[in-house]
Amino acid sequence: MKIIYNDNGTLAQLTPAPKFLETLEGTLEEKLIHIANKDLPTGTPYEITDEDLSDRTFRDAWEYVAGDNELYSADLSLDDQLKYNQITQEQFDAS
Amino acid sequence: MAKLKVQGNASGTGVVTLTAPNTNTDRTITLPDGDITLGGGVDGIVSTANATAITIDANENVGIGVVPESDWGGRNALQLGEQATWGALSHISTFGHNCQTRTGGVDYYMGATANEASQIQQYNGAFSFKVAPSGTADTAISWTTPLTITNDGRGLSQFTAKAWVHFDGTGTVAIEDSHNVSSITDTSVGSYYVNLANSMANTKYCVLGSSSQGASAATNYNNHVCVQNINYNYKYQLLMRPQAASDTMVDIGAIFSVVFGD
Repeated sequence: MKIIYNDNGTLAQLTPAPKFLETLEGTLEEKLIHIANKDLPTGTPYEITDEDLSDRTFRDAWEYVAGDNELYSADLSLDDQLKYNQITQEQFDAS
Repeated sequence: MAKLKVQGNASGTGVVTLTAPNTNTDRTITLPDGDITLGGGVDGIVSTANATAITIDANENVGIGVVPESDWGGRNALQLGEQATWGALSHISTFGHNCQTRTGGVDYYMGATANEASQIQQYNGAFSFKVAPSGTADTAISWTTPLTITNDGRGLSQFTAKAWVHFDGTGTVAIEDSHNVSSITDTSVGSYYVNLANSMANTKYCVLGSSSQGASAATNYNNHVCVQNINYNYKYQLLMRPQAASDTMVDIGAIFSVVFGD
């Protein structure tokens, strides 16, 4: 399973690190949504797919087209933002 | 009565039992204030000390070979000699040398002569290794923390890798192994973003990258792994450029990268 989204007009594939997945709780889909929220800018449309994209023919011409299962990345919780060092303790305390 | 001598019978087990008049299980024995000399060791303790070896003060802090310092800021403390200390609160414990945590949680130098201080602190399931330059007794310590080992196994320092990854960039990206990396984003041929699980403190970090050789003759050169877009503290980009006439980027089967910094 991976996350696909648009990156400057071409399709980007985000592959989760197995060791990081092990640190998360929930179903695989819930873990991938968490990673999308963490690694994609907030509001980025994306899809979770298990489609085989290993054939790299014309790779640079691939485009992301929204499907029925499109999701949007959201902000992480403040606790997670602090956990991942995205905000400082001072910013956390002030929020 | 100035003196009482209790002596057992010459025969029997040799155990002397004092029994109170109310019940034969009430055997509280009150000894007078002052030193007590035992003819032999207590069970499990053998001592040949000829001076005070262990002192327990009114706060139940313990000194071995020394009278413990009086102010430990509410901590339970064990002091070994003049400068070695072990202090604990419910959520934090410290092993220190030449440092005493006093009221308010402030650490002070404690040696008779000026000396450096060091401390290993355990807090929130993490280790922090602290050091301080030489200072005189009863002055506050200003620590630096050159190394912290987090509860999730990361080493936070200038000299430990903040992150590393080994991945296959051909086909669908496969992350063989990693540390502090949440994902890899394949954006085009030979172009990958490494997304860090825990962000760096700033963008002044150092990225090293290398790779195996390409799979084809055209890419079977020493590949240049270019690091790009390090203006983010949570991700950076690796570009695979073969050292050939062509500037075309290529997918590589084994790509390695390491990150150092704050």
